[in-house]
Amino acid sequence: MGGTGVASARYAEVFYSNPALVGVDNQFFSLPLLSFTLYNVNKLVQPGGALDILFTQDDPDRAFDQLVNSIGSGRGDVLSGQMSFGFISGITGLSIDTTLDVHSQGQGGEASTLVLEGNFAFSLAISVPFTVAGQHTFSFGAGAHLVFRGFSIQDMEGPVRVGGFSAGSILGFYDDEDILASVLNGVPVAFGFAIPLDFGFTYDWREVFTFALALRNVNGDYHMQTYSGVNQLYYMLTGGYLGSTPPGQAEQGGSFSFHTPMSLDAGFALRTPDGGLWDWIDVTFAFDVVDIWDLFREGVSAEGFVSRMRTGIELSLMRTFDFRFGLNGGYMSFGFTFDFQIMSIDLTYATLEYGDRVGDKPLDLFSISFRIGLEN
Amino acid sequence: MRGKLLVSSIIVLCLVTGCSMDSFAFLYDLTSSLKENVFTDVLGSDAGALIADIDDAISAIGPLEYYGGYALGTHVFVPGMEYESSIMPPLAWSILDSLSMASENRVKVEKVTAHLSSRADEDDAALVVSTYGMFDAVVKQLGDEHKAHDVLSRFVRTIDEENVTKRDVVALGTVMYVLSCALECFDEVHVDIDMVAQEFDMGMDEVGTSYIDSIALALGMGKSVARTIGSQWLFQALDGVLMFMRGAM
Repeated sequence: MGGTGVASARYAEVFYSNPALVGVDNQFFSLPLLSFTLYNVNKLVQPGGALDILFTQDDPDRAFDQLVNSIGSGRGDVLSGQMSFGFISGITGLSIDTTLDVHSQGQGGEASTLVLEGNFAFSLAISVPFTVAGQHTFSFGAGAHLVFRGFSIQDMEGPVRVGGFSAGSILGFYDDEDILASVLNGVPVAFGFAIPLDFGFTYDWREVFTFALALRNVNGDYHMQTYSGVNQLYYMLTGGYLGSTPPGQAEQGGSFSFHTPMSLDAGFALRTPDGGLWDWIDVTFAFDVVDIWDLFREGVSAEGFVSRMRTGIELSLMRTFDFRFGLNGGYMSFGFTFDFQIMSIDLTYATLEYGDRVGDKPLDLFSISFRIGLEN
Repeated sequence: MRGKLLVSSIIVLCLVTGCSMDSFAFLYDLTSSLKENVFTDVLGSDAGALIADIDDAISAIGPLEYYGGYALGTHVFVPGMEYESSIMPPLAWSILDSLSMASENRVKVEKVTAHLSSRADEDDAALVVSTYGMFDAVVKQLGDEHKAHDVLSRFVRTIDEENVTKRDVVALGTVMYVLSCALECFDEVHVDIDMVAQEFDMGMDEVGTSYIDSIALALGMGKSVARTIGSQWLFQALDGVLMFMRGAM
């Protein structure tokens, strides 16, 4: 819904949007939620794009080449996957999230550098609600994440710089098993952890109007260590290795730290009340402004406001078919969810801005999620 | 195995979304329109500065007429006139700077595209046509007229004075500058038309988008604007010149 969530997040989303919302829906579990996202969709479906070649020319090798060559220059994303286990009961929630992302940087196409990033997070959230005069509910929430993060780097010498391997090097993926070994054993990585904290507040009027504030990512300091390769790190952690080629001698480099900024977000949500027709049709409207501190620090401007604005509307029919439309930083997003009680499938198309200014570098994405579990 | 899994994932993605072989054009048009930022017109953009730079670059082509021609090593475009100095570097730098400024910005690209597609001033149009004529004459000096025409057609498309756009002015100017720089390396070296043709052919075998992009990026240009301004034929010409220079040195 346009990236909103400060006042409108539900279920698993609350762990990363606003912990004060944990108690809104007090029955939820997912075992698991799987999500896959492909970026740069527009280029893949263009005439001569990877999908066009794959289906009209039946040439998987060339389609894969074109997939690699469709990577744009500068900072971007290529694909990502996520697996989550979540559980909420009453006012407390637990979540375990694993993500694997492939980022890109550099000149684009085969000359791009692909950066691997993996995250494993264990989250705990709790909210405490107070109801006044039966229809005004104030909730205070707090959440903590134990996050382990690893990403590929250029080398182990000198200042740590994000790096990886050449996109062109994976073009021989079909024929050359050594490529996987060279990535696992030859690309140095950084690995470490952080314990960021989130705090949230909501005011709710009869479950129709909600105003919310969230202070997220407090204490976002990552303490990292460099290693000579993914497998060397894996060997140090588990005693084993990935793939069929054993790594060379494990080498541990220096330690460093980096800071991820905290964010103050605000938002409100409007929902249709329960009863009558509204038992069959639910409509939710949400509006958020994120990074409010940065907005004021940079000087309030129309462009600064638009880039931090999230808004969206959701139409839910019989609580089974959900249709979403939103604006995230001025870019449209669309979503559809088929929720069949113990399982759901979610499709999302959105565009994100990767440039310094609005319009500099929009990158679109398509995401598909599958969940087994219960939302109530 | 992993590559196959990736391709399989894409197939599953297509099956789930219901897209078929016939639907890609539709999907492309759809996603292209959905990528637009709805606040673009409200926020505006600084494409005005870019357009001003390009106009400056176009106007910089003026002194060409004053100096009377380009020097190509020992060859001079207009026989009998001496080569003083190239007036093209300022133009080229302006263009490169402008291209870099506009890198990847869709809004700027659209505005610049519209600007460059407009008709050039009468003076500029006449200058382009006369430059084309000078270039034609010099290339013909290099050898056989038929071959010269063949090479020429790869450098510049046929110029019709009635329809010269600002893009023609910039593009021709850029090609001439690169050619001038390249052939300066061959001062006192005999260059014949076969050498030129052969090198151009080598450079034009591959015309894929990524190839052109890589050249644009190597020149410090943003891909989108490089494509917009330069168009494919320009980069083929540039590539031919660059390869010509590399091979001979």
